[in-house]
Order: sequence, then structure tokens, then C-alpha cells
Amino acid sequence: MYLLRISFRNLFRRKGRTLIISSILALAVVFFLFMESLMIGLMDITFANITDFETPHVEIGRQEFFQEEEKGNILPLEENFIPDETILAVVEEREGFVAWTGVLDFSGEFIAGRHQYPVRVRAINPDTFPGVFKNEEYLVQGEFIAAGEPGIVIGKQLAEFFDLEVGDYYTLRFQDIDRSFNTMQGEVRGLISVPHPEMNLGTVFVARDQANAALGLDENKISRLMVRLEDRGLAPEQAGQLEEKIGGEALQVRSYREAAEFLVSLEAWGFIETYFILALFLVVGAIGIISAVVLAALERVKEIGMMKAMGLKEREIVGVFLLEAAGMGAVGGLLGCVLGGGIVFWLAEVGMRMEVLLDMEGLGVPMGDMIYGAWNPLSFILIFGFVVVVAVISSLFPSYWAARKDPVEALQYR
Amino acid sequence: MLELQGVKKTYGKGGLEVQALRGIDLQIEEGEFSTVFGPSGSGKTTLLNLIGALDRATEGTVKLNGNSTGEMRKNQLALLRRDNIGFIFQDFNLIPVLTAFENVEFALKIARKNGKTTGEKARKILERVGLGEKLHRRPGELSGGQKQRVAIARALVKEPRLILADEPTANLDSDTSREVLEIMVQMNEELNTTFIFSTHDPRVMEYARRLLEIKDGRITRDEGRV
Repeated sequence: MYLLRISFRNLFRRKGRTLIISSILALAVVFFLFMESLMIGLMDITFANITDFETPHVEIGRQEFFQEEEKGNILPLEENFIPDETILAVVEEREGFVAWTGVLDFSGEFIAGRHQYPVRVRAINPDTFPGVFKNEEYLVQGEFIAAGEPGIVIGKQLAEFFDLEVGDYYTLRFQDIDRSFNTMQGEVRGLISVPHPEMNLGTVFVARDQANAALGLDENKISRLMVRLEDRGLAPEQAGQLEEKIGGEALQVRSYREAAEFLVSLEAWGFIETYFILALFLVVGAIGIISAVVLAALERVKEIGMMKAMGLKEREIVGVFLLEAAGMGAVGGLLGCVLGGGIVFWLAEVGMRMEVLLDMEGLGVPMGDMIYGAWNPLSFILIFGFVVVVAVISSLFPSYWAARKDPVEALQYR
Repeated sequence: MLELQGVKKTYGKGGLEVQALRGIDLQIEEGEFSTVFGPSGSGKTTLLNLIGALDRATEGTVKLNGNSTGEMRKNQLALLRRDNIGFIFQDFNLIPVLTAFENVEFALKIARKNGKTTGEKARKILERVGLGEKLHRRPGELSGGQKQRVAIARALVKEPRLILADEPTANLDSDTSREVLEIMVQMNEELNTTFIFSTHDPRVMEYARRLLEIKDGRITRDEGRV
């Protein structure tokens, strides 16, 4: 108890020194909490935008279809399938299953006036599509797709690009199953504005019955069976189980993470970068602690000598210095958690404009204008503990150096 | 209680060797109040360091309560000091972040004398050295004489069999020195604690019942031996 008391009071002996080292550690904590909140928030929003508007939690399709899509080639119409009852039953048995919908994606040219633009045409079943995706909720003008009715829904950005409004005419040009060029023409039914740039600009929605007829395909043929689960976290495991049950040479099952590998690697790099910068801060803090313990030991040589004369063992003297270093770590960690908590609160509640950080749209990341941080209480506990541990570890060597001083020399030290 | 036989202490190596003690034979009995005196560099402090188990002899044996310190490990020496010896230094060497009371109680805690009585013991001993009113002052708020009284209280509180005082009055004025020495004489008489001083202050020698003069690392005079 006395060793703890001495260590605690020693913290205030050189207040300036304690404050400087604690501030460096606090800065590391603040930086980490801010970056981690930002990264989790950013990835949460990004993945939510993907699963809500583009790729669902789990999707099933032909391997060749996915391969051609990944290469950026024209989406192959022949790589379609009709999901049979067995597949649907297995899908519906999944833990956390919410809904499924079949989608036929194909490549086309969107033409309006004298301009044309390559797009992905997403042919949907309007009855089941809203159970999996939220695009309809983001309708800003007109109506959404209805079964048996012609017309398309496009993103607001594409509409602005072509200067189109609801009711304006369009032409979609594409190759049908026989590789003959065909077109669909009509009026724009509705405009959507979703926080996913790719869906606002490069995707056109049509009713599947209309599209399949124009493509010369059976009306039940789809390129992807898309599945929504209760929680995104369930997706990798459930996709794995589905792959075991129905996957094989013909069909492939992917979770949204496999479908968005670029984002997953971006997420990993983001965290690596965060940890790297955190490590740099902590190295500076550790050097500060080492020098503080060395200076403290030099200032207190006679005290160390006296403690040894009184019968205190070396490990108990080491304990005094370690506790003091842990105290510095705790002050820095606590200060950092309080300041970091404030910043994370601001980030989570108020949010920040994405353009302050970087051009996510230019990077092809599905993000809206604002980004919000995420609260992760475990991070506060972990970073606090980590800073204290770093402080203790970095003071180990100088503490032993101080405690091993010869008592006679220490007592005669001037 | 203390026996030194043929004790030599050499510092340094090779051509830079300094012989601090050149063969000391000495016996100290329980309850003695002895003073080791001599000029600076004569070996007084070295002798006290060896007696106090802070250092080991180069040659010869130092036995405290029958234990030969030369054969003991560091931790064993620490325990020997903790349980048997109290130290008083000319610089007081109090822990500045602890109050007078805490400095004294800390000595009891180190000696593993725990329990409810430690606080009471610390308070009583500080009252006996005249610091009952200044229990909660830190060393920085005390005069030199008061600091030395705290150091005496700290040395005495664990009731050691031996107290070593290395020039305890060197930093004190004559009135304060007298007060401090009288306290130590009183403690010696009341508790039968053995005191060994090192000094070159003639006023201190007046209080000693045994005088040991040391010159060039040898005891040249031993007066008043029991």
C-alpha cells in the first residue's frame, strides 16, 4: 500500500514531466479512438450502402457470371439459372433469413437524345425486391418499377447527366440471348437518389418480366439470387454453409465481403494504417517514459539507497517505479479516453463531411456526403489497458537499473 | 551482538586500489552507546557500512547476531537490515513525498509489522521525539533538527537491536545537535538499543560511553569498553 502511495505521490513530484508524457500517451489514445471510430463508421456506412442498394448479404449465381463481372466484361446472358425449390428451401432455412429476390443483371447502353452511356441494367421482381433492397425508399420523383409495366427507374445523377425528368423518353440498347442487338424504349418512371454513387449513375432498373421478354429469356431466369439476413455479421458464415450445401461447379455462393473485396482490403489497410500511427505515438510515449524513469532514478538515488538500507528488496523498488510508470500511462490513457470520447461523440452524433477527408466517390467507394463515427466501448477499455501496459513494459529496464544500484554508492551519491 | 575479525576493505582494482580498512577486530555488546571517530577518509563510514550489512568485507568476517554477512545473499542482507538495524544519516534521507508520520510508519510496513498498532506506534515514537504536533508535515516543511528527529523515530520505531548513525549531527546547529543526542541517549537507556555513531564532532563524543578512534583504516584507540 505504501509503495502505491509513494508511486502515486511521485507522479506529482515533477508535474510538468508527468503532464508532457501523459499528453503524448493521451494524444495516441485520442488519435486511435478517432481513427477507429471513423474507420468503423466509414466501413459500416459503406457496407450498409452496398448491402442496402447493390449487393445483398449473400448472393448465389453462376461462377462464370461472377468471373466475367469481376473482369469488367459484358455480363453474360447465358450464365443464368432458375432457382429450384430445393435451393430456395435451403436458403430459407438459414439462420437470420429475412427475404430473397431474383435479379437479372445485363449490360446495356443508355441512350437519351444524342448521348449514350454504358450501364448495368438490373431487371427486378418488384414484389420481392423491396424485401432485400431499400432502393424504392429513396425514390425522389415518380414511381418505382411495377410488374408487367414498361418504363425504367434511374438514379438522379444519371438523370442530371442526360437532363432527364420523369416522363422523358429513353432507349436501352443491348444484345439479347441470340447476340442480336435489341432495344427497350419508353418513359422514365421514377428517379432514385441513394447514397451509393454507382447506383445513382451506372444502374438502370426495369421490371424483370419486361426485360426477360426483350432478352429472349424464360421469365424465371435470373443471374443472381439475392438474400437478406437479419444481421450483416451472419453473412460470411451463412454463405459458407450455403456454399457447402448448394455450391459446386454450377453455382457459387458469395457473401457481400467476397463481392466487395476492394472495400475489404481498403478496410484492412485503414486499420493497419491506424495501428501503425498508433505504434509511432506509443514509441514516442515509451521513450518519454524511459527517460522519465531514468531521470527520476537519478534524482532519487539517495532515496533508493535509503529504501535498500531499510530492507526494501530490489523487486519492491522496481515495483515503485513500475507503479509510477503505470500511473503515467493511466493518466495519459484516462485523459485520452475523455478527450477521445468527446471527439467520438461529435463524430457519431454530428458527423463530418466526407470531402474533408478524401474523394471517396472518385475512389469508387459507395459513400454519401456525410460520415458518422461508431461507438465501440471495448476500444476505450482496450486502448486504456494497452497504454498502461506499454508504459509498464517501457519502464521495466530503467526500473531494474535504478533498483540494482549499490546501496553504499547510492547513499553517498551527491 | 556484533563481532568483526580481521576485517579489510579495498576499493578499486589494480593500481587504483584504495585500502579503506586494514584489519579491524571489534566486538560490540548489546546496549552499548559507542562512537567511532577520526579524521575524514579514515574509514568511519566504511566501517559502519560493513556493520550495517550494506557492504561486504574484502577480507575477514563481520558477524551480526551470529550471522556472517559475507556469506549472505543480497535478499538475505536486506532482511537482516530490515529486522535488526536502523539507520540515521547526516542528510536524513527521508522520503519527501511522505509525511513525518508516514515516513515512520513506512519503516514498520517494510519490516512487515502490520496491523492496527503500526499507526499508534508511529504516533507514539514521534511524540517521544517531540514531533507530536507535526505528524502530518512533509520533510520539506520541517527544520533540519525536526527532520533528524523523524529519522531517529523512523530508525527506532521497528525496535531494532542496533542503530547506526553516520554523522547524525553534521547538518545541525549545536543546540539542535544536543537535543537530538539527548533523545538518542534516552532511547538507548529506555530500550537498551545498541547505538554506534560515526563522527568527528567532539560534542557527540561527550555523550558516548565507548570511544573508538580510527586512523588510516585501523582502530587506534578503544576507550570505555564494557
